[in-house]
Amino acid sequence: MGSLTFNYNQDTQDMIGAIIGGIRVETPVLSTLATYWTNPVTYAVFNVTGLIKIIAMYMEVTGVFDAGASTLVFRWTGTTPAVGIATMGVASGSMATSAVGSRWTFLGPGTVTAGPSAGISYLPAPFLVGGKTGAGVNATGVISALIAGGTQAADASGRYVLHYAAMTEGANAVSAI
Amino acid sequence: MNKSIIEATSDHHRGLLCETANLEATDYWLTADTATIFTVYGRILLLELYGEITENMAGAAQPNFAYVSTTPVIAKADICAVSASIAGLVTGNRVVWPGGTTGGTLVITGIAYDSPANAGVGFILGGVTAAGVNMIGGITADGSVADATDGNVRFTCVYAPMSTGAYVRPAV
Repeated sequence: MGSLTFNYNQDTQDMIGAIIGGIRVETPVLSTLATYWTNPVTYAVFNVTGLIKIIAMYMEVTGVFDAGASTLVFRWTGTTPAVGIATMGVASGSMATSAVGSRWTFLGPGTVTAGPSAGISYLPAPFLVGGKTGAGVNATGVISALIAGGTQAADASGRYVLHYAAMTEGANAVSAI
Repeated sequence: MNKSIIEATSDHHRGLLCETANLEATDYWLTADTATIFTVYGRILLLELYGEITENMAGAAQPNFAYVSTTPVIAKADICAVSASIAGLVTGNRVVWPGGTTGGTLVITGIAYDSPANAGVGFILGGVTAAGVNMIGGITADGSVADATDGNVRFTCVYAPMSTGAYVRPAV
């Protein structure tokens, strides 16, 4: 007997991916060094409406990082109702020399971590972000990235990816870039 | 339920599944062997990966699995640690990728047709290039320590796509 593959059409495969791996949103590839990879810089990456469960969130390296000791941490800011900017977890170690395919992954209260190697990363524990007001209205907020520690001066680029599930009616997340 | 509903429900619960052909262990679990058994297109969530013995094993091989990317080139890296010797495995035993971390040992416990499944978290494998093109890589079956001298195995991969158009196909 030969090998076995179920020949579903692409839409069906993508739907199964969304059911198991969550709904996926991505930023574009971010390559403007002064805007995205300079110490320090912060920018919104995802706008969140309502309560979502983060299944995975990471920055996937698409252009190799140089020796600059850049670090990454995600932050949450409530828009409605207003909640002051708060750090989500602990900043990564240096992202210097990160290879293409590396994923710096949000680990809830843990440290943003890559690896174990380019092209291979672990599925993190899920995390809840956002909420709903007492009036039953979906809160809105922003997940942002803070780059600090060092500056990239060469070819660094990456995209932010969020896989999530809606936890309140009408909840969703979209790229802020 | 009819068969299509069972299969569709299973796909949603478990992930998409593909299998290699029934393979000679002597072609895949040699001491210094590395052979691509599944081709990975794009970014996937790996949920299950195992080899099911279809003919009794011989030879004290200690296999494991790895991921390697060809486009772009990313060096091969183990996704688990080598198992103990598979010399005593018989038809129906399975060698099971443990998930969790790359340090986890390939699981060979259990009895014929009754084995643990992946007990750890899944891995995200592969990726998408700066140009938005799905990377092309492979899951390899690697041997070590000694050659397998007899036996057959069929490998199964269960996954969920994590980028548009991502999928896995058996390479053999």
